[in-house]
Amino acid sequence: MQAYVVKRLATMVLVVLGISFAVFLVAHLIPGDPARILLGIHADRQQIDEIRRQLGLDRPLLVQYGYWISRALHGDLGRSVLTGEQVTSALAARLPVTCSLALGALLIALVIALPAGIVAAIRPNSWYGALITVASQIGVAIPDFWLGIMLILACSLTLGWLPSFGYVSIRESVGEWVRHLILPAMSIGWISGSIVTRFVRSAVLEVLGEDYVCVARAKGLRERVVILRHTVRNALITIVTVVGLQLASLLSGVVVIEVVFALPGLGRLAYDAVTRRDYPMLQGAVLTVALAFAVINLLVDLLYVYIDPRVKY
Amino acid sequence: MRRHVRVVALVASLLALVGGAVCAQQPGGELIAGISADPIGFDPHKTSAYSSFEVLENVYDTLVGISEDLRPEPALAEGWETSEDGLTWTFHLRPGVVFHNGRPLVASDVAYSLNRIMDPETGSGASWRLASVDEIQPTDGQTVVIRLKHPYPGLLTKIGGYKGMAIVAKETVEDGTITTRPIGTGPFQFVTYTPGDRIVLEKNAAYWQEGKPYLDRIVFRVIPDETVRTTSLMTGEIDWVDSVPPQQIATLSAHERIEIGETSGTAYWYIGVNLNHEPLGDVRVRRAVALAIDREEIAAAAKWEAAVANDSPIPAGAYYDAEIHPFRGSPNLTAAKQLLEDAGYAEGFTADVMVSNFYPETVRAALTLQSQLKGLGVELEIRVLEWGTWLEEEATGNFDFFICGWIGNLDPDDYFYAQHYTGEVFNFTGYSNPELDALLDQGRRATVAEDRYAIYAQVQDIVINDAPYIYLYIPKVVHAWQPYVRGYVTRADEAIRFVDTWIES
Amino acid sequence: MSISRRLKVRSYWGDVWRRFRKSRLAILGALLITAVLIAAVVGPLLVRADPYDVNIKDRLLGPSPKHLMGTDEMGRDVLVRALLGARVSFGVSFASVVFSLALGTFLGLLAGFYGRFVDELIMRLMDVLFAFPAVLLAIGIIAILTPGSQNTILAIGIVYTPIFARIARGSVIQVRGLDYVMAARAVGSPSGRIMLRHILPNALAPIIVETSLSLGFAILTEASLSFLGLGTQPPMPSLGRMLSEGRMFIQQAPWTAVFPGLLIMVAVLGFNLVGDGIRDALDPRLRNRAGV
Repeated sequence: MQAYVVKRLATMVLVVLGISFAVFLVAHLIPGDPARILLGIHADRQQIDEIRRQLGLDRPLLVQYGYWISRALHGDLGRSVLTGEQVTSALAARLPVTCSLALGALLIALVIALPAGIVAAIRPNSWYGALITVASQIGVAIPDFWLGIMLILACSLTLGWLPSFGYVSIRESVGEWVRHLILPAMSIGWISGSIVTRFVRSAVLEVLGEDYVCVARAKGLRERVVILRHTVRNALITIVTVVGLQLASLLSGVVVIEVVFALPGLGRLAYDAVTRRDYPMLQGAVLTVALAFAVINLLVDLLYVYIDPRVKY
Repeated sequence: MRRHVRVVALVASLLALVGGAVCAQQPGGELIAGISADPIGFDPHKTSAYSSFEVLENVYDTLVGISEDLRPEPALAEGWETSEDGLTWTFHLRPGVVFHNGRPLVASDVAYSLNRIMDPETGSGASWRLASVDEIQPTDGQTVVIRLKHPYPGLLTKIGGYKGMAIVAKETVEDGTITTRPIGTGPFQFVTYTPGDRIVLEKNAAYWQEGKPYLDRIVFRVIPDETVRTTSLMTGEIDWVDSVPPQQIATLSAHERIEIGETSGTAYWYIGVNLNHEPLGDVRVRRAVALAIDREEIAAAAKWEAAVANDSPIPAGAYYDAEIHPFRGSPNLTAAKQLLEDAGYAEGFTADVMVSNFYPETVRAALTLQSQLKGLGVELEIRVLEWGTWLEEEATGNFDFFICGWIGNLDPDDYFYAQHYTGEVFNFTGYSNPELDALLDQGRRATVAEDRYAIYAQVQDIVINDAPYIYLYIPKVVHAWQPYVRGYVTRADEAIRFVDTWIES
Repeated sequence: MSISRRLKVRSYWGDVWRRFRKSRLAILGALLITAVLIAAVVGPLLVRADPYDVNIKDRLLGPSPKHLMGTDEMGRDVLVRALLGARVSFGVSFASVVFSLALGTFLGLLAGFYGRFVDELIMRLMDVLFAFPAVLLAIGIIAILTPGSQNTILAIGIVYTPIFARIARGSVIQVRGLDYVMAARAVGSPSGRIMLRHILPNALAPIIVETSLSLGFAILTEASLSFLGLGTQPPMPSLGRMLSEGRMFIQQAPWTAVFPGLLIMVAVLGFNLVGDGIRDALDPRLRNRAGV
């Protein structure tokens, strides 16, 4: 077990390093650079070169990467080339926003998926089972930005119940924090919930076929007891692993929603950094997301190994 | 009878007084302004982003300001004189101006800022505006003398036309905080910037205009999606919005609780032509295109009602408008086809036009253009590029046509010099005409208004007819706000000023 | 009478098909997909309107006999553009999924079959791709290559490749330890043949499921990319682009977005239901209590 963990950690480090190089490469391959963005249309050759020189962009790519990675290993991710803001403080400020959003989305996903998945598993061919399945699937059939805008028009403009944009820190006001997160979390959560529903359903079905369920039924236990006590608890293991995976992918899927709802999160930071060619910021943001992703995956894998002794490593 | 009239008059004047008091500016309050993008740094000499200037407009002052009707007016300088030969300008600074950190403004600050803009090491995109300046000397604490290389009557608008010429505090440059915490002399001082979220400005109690500003605070909220932005204005979550999508102007006007401010702008939108790509080097081909297009349709496609089609960059009725309209009869396909045939392209040709989703209006304009040019036999391919890529391609000359705009044109020199003078900084078309160059140089030096008018009339004649730019339309500036926001004026140069704004309770 | 005539021979795939048929939702899904496919292929030919004809005077008109679904902001017929857009969206989706399917399965097969160093190398590469935020990777690729349908296909294809690689590898690992594979190896069959004839057919099951689901997701990904200004570029319509542009006119002219939105929903729903149906049909453990 020990050896496995060490091996996984080592590969995780390798993967993250690989990502750091990949994003560096991709960012610098995109035509245009921060000097262009800064000067805009009002740019002449001399000024562009001057600003490039000031930003260190005239050095060979590998040298630039070398500088960046050596500083990054010391915890210094550099400064935004456009605003001078420290990358680490920018990331620290944005991380809570994305985490709040991801957690909120996950909560909504579970609220949708657990009942829907269970019903779909135990009553698949009933009309309401089918209805719930279709309803939960509709969430995945609509583009995320569209769902977001529809929700804003319905709940903010027409009904006036919820704010249409922005983020309020939990430290300022818990109520406002919740209110501002509801619509964006729903936009993602509904979609995510539809995906998790399937897993819940198949997990429950799998457990239902197990012998101990048959035994419980044979013993004459009531159906509800059978389901609650035996089925759900064991299906929970699979569900937890799926949830973990969803959380990881949520961190990378929030870009569109953060743009629509004007949330100052990591996804939006990364997107703005790409369009503005803010290399240090982009590299820092992608690194953080990738790291979070890798860590969550690692935890999920370890959980899997720990719980299910059949899994060979 | 007369006594009654006197009483009525007395009562009427009393009512007027009371009514006037109710309409008078109320100090205090917070304005929430919705803007469409994050600022790109707060260094006015280095950034070119409109989103940055929306904020900086209220934080900094320039030596000379621009009034609502686009004339130079005193700002940090209360007065100035020019020498006989027009080579020496003396500016007298207003006394009692202090920076937001409490330090009084002195002449050396002005010299420092303007020199910084001119310094090639700064890499400022505004340095070309001071090309005629030889040196800047603070002669005493309150006087700045600017010596020019040649007489240049248009100096005032160049020195103060927009906040890129702001007078900054030297200490913020030296400690590097100018990009993140600007310190100026303007009506509001910078408090915080939460990237992706908001910028907070607070009232400058020591502002040099008595009694102003009225607002206590301005909070700029960044809302990238335009649908969400206008929705949040309608829900009342924000008080003011910086750009109204043209298709929504009608909806918002009809909305009982929203006020719309509209004015004709100083910007012009055009098709830039790459003279180095055949067959566009031939003036007949360019004129053929200029004749074949329907500017009204393009303007309507791009901006609905919020633009005025024009084949000249200078708005109709402006002082320098020489009313040169060689393409007024367009679309005139017969004449256009004839021109193409004369140039040897009777079969038409293929070309590309470069636009970006960063300015969705240009995409709509390009689609309309593509459809219109089919009648001329021109196969137009539309290249929609991401903005950073667009800038790169424009600079490297990798295009046939592109659609873009210039804003902030105040002086006729602004419309033509940097764009069409041989080899000048923004000459991306490759246009070179020695006759035009000579005229433009003359225009810069001309001191008598009639002479200037005549010179720039000739300039317009040349440039419009040679068509390195095919002019399309002049957009209107449209902003929207809640009814309790008073005293805000939509400016033709698109500068966002809240110094006179107040909230009515 | 011989036994072979009385017992109908049940093949594996025959079983799968029969179970699939029994699920009403799966059939519904298949019908939805077929409907949209037919509309996309045949529709643009039936509707007599030019999808590229710019006609500003007729912009944002509501549904009428001349324009059954109204006109968009450039005066073009929404119905024909939506149908053509469905074609483009399906095209992008199919092409990108085929790309990722082919590349991913190939890499997964290699990794699973050869194991050890090859496995490590390929899977770490896939990990890097997988952990890279999907939307950002797509944005990066498209920005490097310039926006457009072709580069969108490439970008989405690259982003989806790791999933197929993982699934393929997982299946291969499960299957390669089985007796008949070891037998084939013992007999000296060439690796290529073993992979193609023995391993691949059995690894196919989860890949088919993932393909169906990915087809739906690819349509949504293209829509999100269009929202961000990438994806399909004008004047070519795609369902995603029409939805993204339609959001700007949602209050003045909702019809510009409703029909494309409906088509997306039906298509993706269909792919999801079919994908679920196939998964259930393939997994004999997931029988409902009534038994199949």
